[in-house]
Amino acid sequence: MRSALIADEVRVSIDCDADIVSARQKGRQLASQCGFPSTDLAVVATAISELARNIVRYAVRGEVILRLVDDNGKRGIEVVAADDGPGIPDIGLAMQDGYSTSGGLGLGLPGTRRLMDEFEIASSFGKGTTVTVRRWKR
Amino acid sequence: MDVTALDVIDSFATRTLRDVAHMIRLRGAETVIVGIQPEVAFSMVKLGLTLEGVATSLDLEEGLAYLNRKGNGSGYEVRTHRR
Repeated sequence: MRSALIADEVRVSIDCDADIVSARQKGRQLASQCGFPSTDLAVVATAISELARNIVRYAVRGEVILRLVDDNGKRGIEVVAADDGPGIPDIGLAMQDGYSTSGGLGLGLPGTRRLMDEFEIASSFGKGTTVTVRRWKR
Repeated sequence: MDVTALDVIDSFATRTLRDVAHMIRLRGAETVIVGIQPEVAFSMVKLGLTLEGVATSLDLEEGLAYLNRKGNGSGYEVRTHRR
C-alpha cells in the first residue's frame, strides 16, 4: 500500500544515542503539526525511540525517515527505520515478546507493533532491516 | 527517582530504571519512581513495559510520604528541600 506524501520528509541519520533523541523530537514535532493529540505524540515518540535504539544497538548506523501521509483523507505519520546492518535471522522470533539477542527486555519490535496502527518489517540476513510503521489520526 | 521531565520511557529506559532499583534493593534500600506522566504511562502499557516490583508514586511529595511510612519504626525520616 502506498499513501500520498503530504509534506517534505524529514530524514535523521542515526549512529549514536543523541540521534535517537533527535529523531523522536523531530517525529513529535511533525506529528504535532499534523494535529495529533498529546497521547499520540508520546506513542509516536516512543515507537521512534524503540526503532532508532535498535539501529544503534544492532546495526550501529542507519536512518529514520519521517513523513506525514494521507490515505483517502485519513492523515497520519509514517516512520521508516532503515539500516544495512546484519539483518534479522528469524523475524518470527524477533517479533515474540521477551525475545532478545542483546540482553534487552525483548519488547522493542512487538511493543512497537502494539503502539502503532500499521507495522511492516523487511529484513534480509547480512543485508539490513527496514521497519515501516504508521499511526493514523482518529 | 523523579522522571517527571521524561517525555518518553522506552524499553531501554525501563530496563535502566529496573536495574537501578534492583541494585538499590541489593543494598538494602528502597526505590520509588515518581512523576510518570499520563501519556508516558499510556505508551508504556501499550508497549508492554512493567516496572516489576518497583514502587511508584504520583509525584515527589507522595513518593517521600510513601518512603516515610515504610521507614516508620526504623528511626529515619526522608526530607526534601524545594525552592
